[in-house]
Formats: sequence, structure tokens, C-alpha cells
Amino acid sequence: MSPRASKKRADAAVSSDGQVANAVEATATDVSQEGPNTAATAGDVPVLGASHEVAFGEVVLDVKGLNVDFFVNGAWVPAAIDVDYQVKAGEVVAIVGESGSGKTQSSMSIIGLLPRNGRASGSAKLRGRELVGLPQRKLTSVRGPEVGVIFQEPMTAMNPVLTVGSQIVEVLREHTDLRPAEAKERAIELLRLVDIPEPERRFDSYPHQLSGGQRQRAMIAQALACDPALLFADEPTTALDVTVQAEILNLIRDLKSRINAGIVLITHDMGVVADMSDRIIVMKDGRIVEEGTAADIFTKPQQEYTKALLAAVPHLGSTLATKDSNRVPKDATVVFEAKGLVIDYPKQGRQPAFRAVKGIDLTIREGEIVSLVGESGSGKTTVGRAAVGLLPVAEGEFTVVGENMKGISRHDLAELRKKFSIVFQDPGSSLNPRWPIGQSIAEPMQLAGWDKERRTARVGELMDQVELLRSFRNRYPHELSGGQRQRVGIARALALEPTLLIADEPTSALDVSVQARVLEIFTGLQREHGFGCLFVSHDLAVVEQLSDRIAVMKDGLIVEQGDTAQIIQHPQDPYTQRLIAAVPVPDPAEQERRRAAANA
Amino acid sequence: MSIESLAPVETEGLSLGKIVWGRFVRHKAAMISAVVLVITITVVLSSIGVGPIPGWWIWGPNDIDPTIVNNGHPTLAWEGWWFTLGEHPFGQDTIGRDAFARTMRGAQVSLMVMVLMGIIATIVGVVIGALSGFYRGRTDFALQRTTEVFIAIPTIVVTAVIGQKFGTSNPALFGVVLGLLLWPGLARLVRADYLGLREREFVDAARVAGASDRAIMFKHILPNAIGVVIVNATLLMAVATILEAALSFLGFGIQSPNVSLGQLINEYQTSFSTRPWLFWWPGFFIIVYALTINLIGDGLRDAFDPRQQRIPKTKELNKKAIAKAETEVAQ
Repeated sequence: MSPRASKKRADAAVSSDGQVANAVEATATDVSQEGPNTAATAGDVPVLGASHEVAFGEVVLDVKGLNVDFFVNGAWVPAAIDVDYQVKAGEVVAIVGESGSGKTQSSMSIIGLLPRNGRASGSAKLRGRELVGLPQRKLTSVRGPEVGVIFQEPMTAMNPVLTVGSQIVEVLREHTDLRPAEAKERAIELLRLVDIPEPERRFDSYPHQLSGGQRQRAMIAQALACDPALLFADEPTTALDVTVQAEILNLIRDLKSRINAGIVLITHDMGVVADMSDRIIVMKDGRIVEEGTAADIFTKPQQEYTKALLAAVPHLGSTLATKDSNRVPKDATVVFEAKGLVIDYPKQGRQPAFRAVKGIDLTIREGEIVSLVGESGSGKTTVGRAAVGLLPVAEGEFTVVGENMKGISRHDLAELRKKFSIVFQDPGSSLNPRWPIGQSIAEPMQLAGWDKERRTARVGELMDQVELLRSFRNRYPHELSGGQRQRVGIARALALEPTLLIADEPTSALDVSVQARVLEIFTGLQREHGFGCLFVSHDLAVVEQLSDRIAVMKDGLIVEQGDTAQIIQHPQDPYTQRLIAAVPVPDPAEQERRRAAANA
Repeated sequence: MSIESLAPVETEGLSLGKIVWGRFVRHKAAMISAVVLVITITVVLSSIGVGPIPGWWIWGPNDIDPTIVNNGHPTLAWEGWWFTLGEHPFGQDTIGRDAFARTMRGAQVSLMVMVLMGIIATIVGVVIGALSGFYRGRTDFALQRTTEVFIAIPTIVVTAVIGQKFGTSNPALFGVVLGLLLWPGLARLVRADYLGLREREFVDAARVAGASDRAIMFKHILPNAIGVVIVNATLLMAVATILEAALSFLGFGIQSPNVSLGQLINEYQTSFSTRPWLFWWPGFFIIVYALTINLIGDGLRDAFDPRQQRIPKTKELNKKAIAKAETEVAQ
């Protein structure tokens, strides 16, 4: 049988299924003929949710026996196997699983966004209409008016050269009969709906002019533009700060009641879904391993895997009992000392110079892990970058491994670089994509003048230490998973046995369970090698696990610092208190209680 | 199973160069092109010899055979399963010069012009583009204004003057001048790539590891910008072959008694209707050069790009799936 014939048969199967479909189908066609936005064309902007004909509790998406395969190295590899679930209007269904569990691909296959080497089979009906096997041409009329998608990284998902407003207007004009002026009015209305301040002004902003949280809100507005019946949110808060994450989650929770659409929330973080979702689906290796109401999953998980996922979410205060505040002797050598440290970002083109750090005091002794916590833009990363000589010191005293960093000469800095190193936030971009990882790990040694044999031996040793197979050394970064890449980053940073290590959010790009493993390896290596460490992070729960002391930073200043237990249990500064309150906990009841407290 | 095979195997750390070479060798089109080019160059160099070294062909490019064999037609012919060269395989011109010898010499000269030009333009273009994009600021300003000056120089006028003055004596100079004129396009593209790549975190990572500016520019960033460089360099070399041919055709390029492929075409344009073969063979060599070099460039670029991976077409995938289903049914 030719491929074409087989495809025809598949199409035929679809249409016969379509005939079997019930009254819901009729409603769907009615809606699509009249256009969901006829009301909007008539004049005043309607109350969202009123214009499409889904009743509360009606099944919006019905997935049955969905399979997704990828053609990799000459064979079909399954990414999702026999996935069944239903989404009702007004309901949030969370699909939880680690990267590679098939949670994203199974959802993307439904709206035809698989890469070219992927294929889907089975059935996924949107209000009775079969979507699997639907040609792309028809799918474009489904994506937008009927299904909205919120992507993980709004910076890359939005077009950087178009204004936020024009991107929303584009969606509206594509799928409705609105005139430009009306579309603009509606877009501003949408921006207001997602709580963007000054929507009229923001309409003309470019994505880079918005903060991360605002960008994500704008993308939600875009996804909601045509009142979809179903909303996919693919890790909508993973790229955001904790407090912003809490705000966005609040918004989605709020929208749930306002727009009457089914929401599918895809995430790896059990903490995020705790008080968001009505039902939870846990996926592992392409299969659904457990399914149930949120309360059931959190209070009595049946599967080991679900328990492991729950356990991987760092709990605030869980490790405080084992902390020993005298682990590092008080008289240990100081490897990092800042006094009234001020750092400027130099003027660049039309951008004026910017004072990122406005005078901080911080000390790290050998063998100690000190964490610097704050949200994006607080200047915490700047401190780390100045410590390794990537940014100059503007004012104040700054001593790193015994050398004064202020006005340090190139030659001295080159010498000093053998004594400290840095692990970057995103291993995907901090490893040279065109270098095999073995060469990346060996680079600091090569620059320090080691011969080839010694380098080869040391690379093998380091790969053992970070628990990577030695046979991986000729692989390229893109052939490794995120967690493996970050281990390469750590191995490279440890190559020359540094006295001071700067870790710049080393786990924020990783899954919760992978993060737990990487942190374990990291702490193990720190205990073994005894380097001093500045651990920069936005996540207090992560920081609590491994640090001896914590410094909280806001707007270029340290607002509070002290022993880990003291900061976590008795935060003095209101900002620290807010940060602690925003950390998601994998417990719906606790989450609700805290939200109520925060709103009060 | 022996015990040795169970022991962990120590993997040899391969350098970037070795991996790229391994991938290049597996690239079919590029390898075939490389073989064709090597054979062509071998024939071109060995047939009439280079400089003082004599070749295996009896005639020289400017020797005159008073007897015109077969009315000047090519004597190259099939004889059973093998072909014979005959006395003048590519034919003779009106005064009896051997077209094969002349084409070979022309191919030698064109090859030299092409290689010199390609190497010089690529090196200058990459270095200027890299410095400009990496350092930005004043360096960039100065270098970009220089580039603009070079863009403004009309290539055809300069080369025509050079051709008139030195075309008879020194074809190598011609290649050098072309190289020094044609780098700006590449420099611009390389600069654009460097401007983006220098902001990437791996550059900071290299700097913290203690890498010098030069190492960052050429060991870290260059492999990431190599696609642009290779595509451009090969394109430039193909352009150089054709430009040289065009200039010589107009009578501005390499001058008699020197021979180049373009100059041959120019010389024989009048005999196009009577002896077209004099025209074909130089043209054929121009095509061989331009084509093989471009295909090799393609292969190199793919070899440098670790993500390059052939995804089978939907049709092939379906075919495979059906074949598999059928075997399953058969079982």
C-alpha cells in the first residue's frame, strides 16, 4: 500500500469519526461559522468567556490512545505512549513529569506543532473535532481561536522586532473580522485583563522593554486573544523569579474562573501545581503513571515516581536541623572580601552607565558556601561576575584570593584566574557549542600549560567525579541533557582545583529532580575539595540546602545577611519575608493558607 | 565474551579538528568532489609540468605542430572499452597549437589565481571582520571605514590596469590583487557574526578560564562562525575563476603568451562556429573548479556544524514504516 493510500484511509477514518460525534460537534461548527467574535465586531468589547459556547464542565479536549514517536538515528523512538485524558471547561489539568517524559510533546502533537521527525497517532478531539491527522492548513484555524498556547520563555516566543500590541492585533486580525482600530482596542482590553500596568503605553512596547513577568503576561494576553476553549501553558513560570512566578500563577488561577476555558498546565515542578490544578496527571517515559485529583496526588500518592517527584521539591526549613553553624572554623582564610563594593555597568552605545551594585559588604572564608539571594535585577549576578574579573570594580575594596581586584593588571588577573572559576547559569550557552565537551573541560588546564597526557587523565578523573561516563568526552553539548551539561560546567570549573568558586544560578535552568541530583554532586565535591563558594540564586529553598550563610540582595544592596537558619526562620527584612512566602510548597492546603495570608 | 571487553574503555579525547575531519570524510558529495578535484589538479599539473619540471605530454602550450591532424578536430575517442588520447586529444587551433596543452596551462594559471585569491581574501576578511566585531568601538569604526573604501574600489578597473601592466609577465600578481580587493564582503559577514557571538556566555567562560583575546577570537568564536566563512570563501573562489575568465575574455586579464582559461575562451571566440571544441574544454575546466570547490565547502560547513543531521523526508519515513509493518505482518 502506498503512503498516500494509507493517509487517505486515515482521513476517511477521521471523517467517519466526525459523523459519529454528538451535539457538541454541531455547536462547534455553529460557532466557527458565525465566528466567535461576532459580538466583538458589533461594538463594545465583550466580557471574556461569554462569546464562546462552551458550558462550564463540558468536555473540551478528549485525548484517547495518543502516541507520539520521533525518528532518531534510524528508528522510531516513542515519546508518548497511549496517553488518555480529558479536560473540561473551567478546569485546570496539570501534566507533571521530568524533561523527556513526553509531557510537552504529547500536548504539542495535538495542535500539530511537532518537529518534522515526529509523528502522532491516536485520537485527540477538541469539542468533538478530531485534531490528530488534521492537515496544517486546517490546524491554523484551530490554533488561536480555539487553542491558545503560553510558552516557557516569553523572550524567545515573542518576536523581538514587533511591538507587543501588534503581535496581539495580528492574532485578532487573522482570526476575526475586527477592523484595525477595534483590534487595537481589544488588545488593550486584553492587556488590562492580564494586569499589565498602563496597557495603552505598553501596547507600543517591544518585548525587551518589558520585565520578564510582564512579557509572560503579554503572551498570556496573546493566547487569550480569540477566547480559546483550551489553553496550553507549557512551563509558564519556569523562567521567572519566585515572586513573579507567584504573581503569574495567581493570574492563571484567576483567569480560570473568568474565561471558562480548559487549561492544561505542563510543568516539572510539583510545587507550582499544588494549589493551581483540579486534576493532576503524572507522566514518566511517555506513559501516564498516575492520575487523580490534586488532593489525592498530594496527600496519598500511589506510585514511587510521584513520591520521588514530590520529594525533589526543596522544602523550606527541611534541612535546618542538620545545619552546623560552626562547620567552617572562624579563623579560616578569607578568600573573598568586599567592603563598600560598588560595580557599574559601563556605558554601551546609547545605554548610559548603570550602577548595578551600590556598596555591599560580604566575606567568604575558605571551605564556606555563602549564598547571595535576590530577584533578577538585584545585582547578585553582577557581584559574581566582578569576582571573576569580568566586570571592573568602580569603588570600594574588593579582595579575591588575596589579590585586590580594583584596578588589577591584566597580568595579575591572568595569574589569579588559575585560583578561581565560575559555573554559569545556563550550561547550554556557557559551553562552546562547537567544541566537544572533553575539550571544554580541558581548556583551563591547557591554558595553564599542562601537557596532553596529564590533561587526558584529569578530564577522565573529573568526569568520574561529576558522574558522567568517560565515553561522553567526544560528545557535543547539544547531545547531552541539561543536567549532564551542567555537570560538564562544574567539572570544567573544578579542573584546576580552585580556592574560590562562583556558582551563578547553576540549577535554575534544570528540572526539580535533576536539580536535586546536581546539588547533591555539587555539595559532595565542595566537602571533598573544600573551596570557598559564592552561590548566587533566586531560590531560597535551594540555597537553604547547601549554604552556611545567606545574604539577601535587593536593588544593588544587601538588605540582610546571616546564618542560614537565622535567615530562613527569623527573617527580619520585609523583602526576605516576601521571598520566603513566595517559595512554592508541594502541599495544596499549606499553599492556600499562605496565599490567604499574603492577600490579607 | 572476553574479560577485556567488559573493562571500561578509555575514550581518547578527540580534538575539534579530528572530529570535523571524521565528519567531512563521511560527507558523500564533498568526498566525491574532493577526489574529482585532486584528480583534475594532478592531471593539470603533471601533464605539461610545472616550471622547470617537465610533464608527460609531448606538446607545450605554445608549441606549433605544422601538421594539422584530422582537420583540428579532437582526437580523443572511445576504442572499445577504453579511450585513446590520440595526437591532439582536445584538437588544434588554426596555427596548429595543441589545445590540450594550452587548456592544461590555462587550468594551471587559473588554479593559481583562484587559490591565491581565495586564501588572501579569506584571511584578510576573517581577521578584519573578527577584530572589528570583537573589539567594537574605535577599532570597529576604523576598520569598517577602511572596508567601505575597499568596497568602493571598482574591481574591474583595478584588475584591468593590473592586467595591462603585468598580465603578460606575472599571473600570480593578478591573484594577489583580486584577493586584496574582494575581502570586504566576507569581513562584513564575519563582523556581524562576531558581534552576536561575543555576547554569548561561552566567551565569558573562556575568559574566566584565562583564554587570551586571540584564542577567544580564533579558537572559540571562529568555529561558530565557520559556516559563513566557508560558504563565502568557496563562493569567492568560484567567483574568482569566473571573474578571471571574464576579465581575460574582455582582454583585460592575463595576456598572451600567458594562458588562462578565460583568455583561451577570449582568444577562440571568433572560431566559435568553426572550431567549437576550442571553446568547450576551457569552459569545462571552469565548471569543474567552481562546482567541486562549492561542494567541498558545503561538506566542510556541515562537518563543522554538530547539529547538522539528515532527517529523512516524510515520504521515506512512511516507506520505512510500511516496510516494517509488512515484515511484522509476514512474521
